[in-house]
Amino acid sequence: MKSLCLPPKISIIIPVYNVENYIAKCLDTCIAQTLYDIEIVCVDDGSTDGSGRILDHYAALDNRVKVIHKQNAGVSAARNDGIRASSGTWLMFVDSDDYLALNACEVVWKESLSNSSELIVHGGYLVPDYPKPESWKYWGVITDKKYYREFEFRVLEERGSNPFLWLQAFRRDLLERTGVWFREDISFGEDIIFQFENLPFAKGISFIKDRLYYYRWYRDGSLMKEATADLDARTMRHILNIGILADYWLEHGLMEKYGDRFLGWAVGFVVPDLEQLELKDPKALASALKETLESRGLDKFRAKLPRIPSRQYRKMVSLAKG
Amino acid sequence: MTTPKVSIIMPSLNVGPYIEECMDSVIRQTLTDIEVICVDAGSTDGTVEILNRYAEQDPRVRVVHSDRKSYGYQVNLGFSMAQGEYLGIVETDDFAEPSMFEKLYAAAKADDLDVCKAGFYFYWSKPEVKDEPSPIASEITASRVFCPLTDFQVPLEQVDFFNIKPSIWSAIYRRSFIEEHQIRLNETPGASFQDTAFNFKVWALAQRVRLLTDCVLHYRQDNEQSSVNNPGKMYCLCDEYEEIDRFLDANPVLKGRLEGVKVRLKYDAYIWNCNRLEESLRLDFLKRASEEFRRELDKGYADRNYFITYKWKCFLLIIQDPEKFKEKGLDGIWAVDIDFDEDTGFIRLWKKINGGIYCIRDHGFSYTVKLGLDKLKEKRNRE
Repeated sequence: MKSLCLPPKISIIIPVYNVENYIAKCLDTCIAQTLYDIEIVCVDDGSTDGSGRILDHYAALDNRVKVIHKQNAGVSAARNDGIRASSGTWLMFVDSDDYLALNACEVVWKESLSNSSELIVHGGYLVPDYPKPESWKYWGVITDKKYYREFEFRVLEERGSNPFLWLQAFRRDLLERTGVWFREDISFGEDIIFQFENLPFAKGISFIKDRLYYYRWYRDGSLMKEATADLDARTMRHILNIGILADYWLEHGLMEKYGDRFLGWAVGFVVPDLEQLELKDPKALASALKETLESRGLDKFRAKLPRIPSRQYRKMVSLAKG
Repeated sequence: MTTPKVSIIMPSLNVGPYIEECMDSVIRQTLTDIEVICVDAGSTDGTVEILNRYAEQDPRVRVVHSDRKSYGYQVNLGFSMAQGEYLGIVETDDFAEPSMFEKLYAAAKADDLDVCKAGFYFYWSKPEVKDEPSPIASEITASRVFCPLTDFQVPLEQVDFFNIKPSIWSAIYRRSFIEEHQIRLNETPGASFQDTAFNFKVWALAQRVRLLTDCVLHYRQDNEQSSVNNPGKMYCLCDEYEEIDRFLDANPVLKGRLEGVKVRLKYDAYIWNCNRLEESLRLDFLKRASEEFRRELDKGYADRNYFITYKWKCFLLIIQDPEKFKEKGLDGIWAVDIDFDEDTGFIRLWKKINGGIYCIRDHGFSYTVKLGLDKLKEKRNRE
């Protein structure tokens, strides 16, 4: 017989892949949380450095730490395994090179008692704070105090609601009801997809001002990597993701209500990149975006767009023509 | 004579229909080295005869007669006669799982505990048998020995611990611990929440406590005579909290740490009590509660860290205006209006203007006006 017991209050889920220099700091802040009744699930996604050993060390130190070792299968699969192995009422996702404020779980739990929300969004800090972070990142982790009794599109425009997954705590009920977890076939932008698929079904969404998360916005070398990454491929990935999301929203009847807002968000998300980044082939990308939106019948919302998205839409059309 | 491992105190008063099921469950415990002390307060429905029969058949069972009809006095009498290493209580309309005391004793012995406590089942025998488990701990909480006074860094988690249903009968207590601190139940007449103060004292003084994830006892919900179903005893809870106040006054070291917890527990208990009262009695009770809460607030004992937001607002509302609180419906998230936007006055106005300017710049004038009107409409609808 399965033993009867209460679930822990919060499960912290940490996908780990080759971060031996950072993981200790992350786990230190997790096990030092002021709230005691939490569970820390680390999924070692086939690390080839010493990360796995460090995890085992912490698991031996503190029985609240659970470690899963598995073959490398990407961050989405690791998070899904983490959700499956956890039992907490609330789920928080922490990246293995970042860390938490010591009262993070306390504040989230307290907020969850005060309001009947299924999603709690808190703020964060960027570390290290030198060199100066880009402004969208800097402002993206600062949240305002707000409460939504039910989903409105405005939630997704609120700072903190996307794309940073680790600013959000999800009630397990929500994920069980929607049944959508992380898409394991997508390796980039999977967090945005997760948010756009789950947030519309949340009953009660709280935004709180407390800044509870420390986001390591670059690591040694990774800043360089980002600058030289294949920008065309990245933008293409964004466009494909928008297609996936549009399909999901159409299927679940969200487009009737929010079609124009979705269209505005989609062009606002990609078109500035097309204009500003030095892309090899902006024309192909612009027509791919246009094709993606038109094939889902979203162009009929064009007339309802406000000024800036409307301008961006025209820009996309003109870029596609060449 | 060797000391038994556990002394089980069983206070009874006219529980004829239930006593046999209860006694059977206790004498058939898998932990056999026990002592059973039945303290009867003068039952007239044959309960005593049944108890005597058990005492004849089983040398571990003793029947004692109490000359006062007080649940507290009965249990205290049992405590004073007990010889066991640990003390347990089983109320005579409930019944135990066969392995209850074995599990509790094993855990208590292994970790050298003052108190070991487990979950229980809510049990109904009519209209149909229903047995709902009510566990009290997660595996994580259950894996650690706590000192409830000092081991919590989060005020609300401490409240959670103190707020575990005061099921004093799903636990065992080290006798030397109870004797050292002379912890006794309040000897008010009848069965009237004497567990409240006892439970508080135990948590306040215990150094080593562990919770178990198992459920070990079936707690009967359908006995009409049980105190939970008796609205007559409206102010008995207040007596219990007075007793807690006396206890804290006598222990200044604890007082500083526990006043905040106490006020929160009191709030929860009073709201619970109020909910079970008849409509006509509620206002009187709330007025009394209002006075007491005001005193706590004046003295600086009420601490909002021990409350969650809406409960704190309800607490203040009861102080200001108990009638309004009653009208609003008792203690719910929406009983009070919570303002989710913390900014007020000038800063709020400034933010609105700023937002408007940005919106006009980004989306044009007509769009902004439309958005503003929509928001106003929404606000009016909500009101």
